[in-house]
Amino acid sequence: MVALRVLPVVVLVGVATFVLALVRRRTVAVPAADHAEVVRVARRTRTLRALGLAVGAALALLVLVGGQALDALGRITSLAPAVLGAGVLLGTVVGELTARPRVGARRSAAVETRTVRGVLPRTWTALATGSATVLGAALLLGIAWGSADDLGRAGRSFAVTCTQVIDGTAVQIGSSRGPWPGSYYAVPLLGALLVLGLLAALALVAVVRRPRPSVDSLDLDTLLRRGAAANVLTATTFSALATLAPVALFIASGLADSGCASTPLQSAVGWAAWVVAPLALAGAAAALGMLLAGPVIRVADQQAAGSGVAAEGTPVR
Amino acid sequence: MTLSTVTVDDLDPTPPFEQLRRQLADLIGNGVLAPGDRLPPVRQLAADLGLAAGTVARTYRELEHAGYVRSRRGGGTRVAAAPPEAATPEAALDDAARAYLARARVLGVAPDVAARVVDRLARG
Repeated sequence: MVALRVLPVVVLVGVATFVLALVRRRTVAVPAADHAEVVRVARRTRTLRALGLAVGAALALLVLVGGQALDALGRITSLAPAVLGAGVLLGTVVGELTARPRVGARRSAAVETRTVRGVLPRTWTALATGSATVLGAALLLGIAWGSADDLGRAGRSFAVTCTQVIDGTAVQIGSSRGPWPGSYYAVPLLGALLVLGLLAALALVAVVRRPRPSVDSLDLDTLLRRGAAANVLTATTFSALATLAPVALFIASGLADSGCASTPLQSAVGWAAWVVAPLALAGAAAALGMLLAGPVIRVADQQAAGSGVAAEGTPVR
Repeated sequence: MTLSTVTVDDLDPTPPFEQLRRQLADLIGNGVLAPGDRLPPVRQLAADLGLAAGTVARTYRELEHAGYVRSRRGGGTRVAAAPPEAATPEAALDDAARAYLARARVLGVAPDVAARVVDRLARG
């Protein structure tokens, strides 16, 4: 019921972010003759990222629909957000590794040390690591508090027992609620989170190691790398938050009205989960909107003569 | 921030590792790269210049033997604390002129014609 009430808000947040990201998207227009190689590299990496997103989305849909047929308990279905994120990350890796600038007889390079830290945008780094950390903590907590369900499947429900005095007689009361994100769901999800983290690291290294197209386009090339790194972190954030939302929802509903008095820790976790679930869902919708709207920085040809200086914030087209 | 650059020219008869070694030695000897400054990782510089990683690695080895840099496993290659000073300007120009004449020879241009080109450029 709560999910149904929250859903319109989430859709609204997703659409609003998509529109906002489209409107605020910066296009760095540069004279093609001055930065031809950067424009070519930018187009190739952008195309492969978009292709990765499309393939990832199609596979995620397949996992959502087909997964339910294979495993009605939703273990496969829960991996759909990670599949979409992995598609974007793989598209980024392939794009960055195959975007090779043309080399002439005379080639120059800057004497510099490029590092992953140098291209990471602070806000997105904080969001990606924060959401992945909260997801990891929620899954570990789910494993720690999970117990077997009525058919003996370990880590699929949350069980509590307590003693209550009814009509002067001490009665042992027990209840079990599920689905619960215990080991049954959490182990494959933690595995997916690990793979996603490795893919994100690989994509960031690929972004940094891509050869510089030309020393005359250093600023523009750096801008592109930062945009690509932000895209990697957006995909990671989306996967983590879209996975976290149902996990938090199941934790919240599992801890509610168990029939026994909750411990202070359980109460705190339960309330936190009620807050985290809609926030994570809205955050995932926003991240998906940004992924669909495309990269923050787009490089386009400018046929008319220009200054040749490319900088962040130059005209939006 | 202005970054120093290095250039490799396939038409130059000097081997690429030597072209690179000479430019980096000049940058270090003239103080453009200060003691402790980190040189680009071998793979990065090789990819940017379209060279094999072994070529750049050989340049770094030669620079290390000459005392310009020190390499540490995991710590990259950095400019040595007390690198040799650069050659005098006259010696550096002699080197550049020799490289220019060698390139002219590869292009089939006689030395006197090459000298006239320099003279014309110098007069503006």
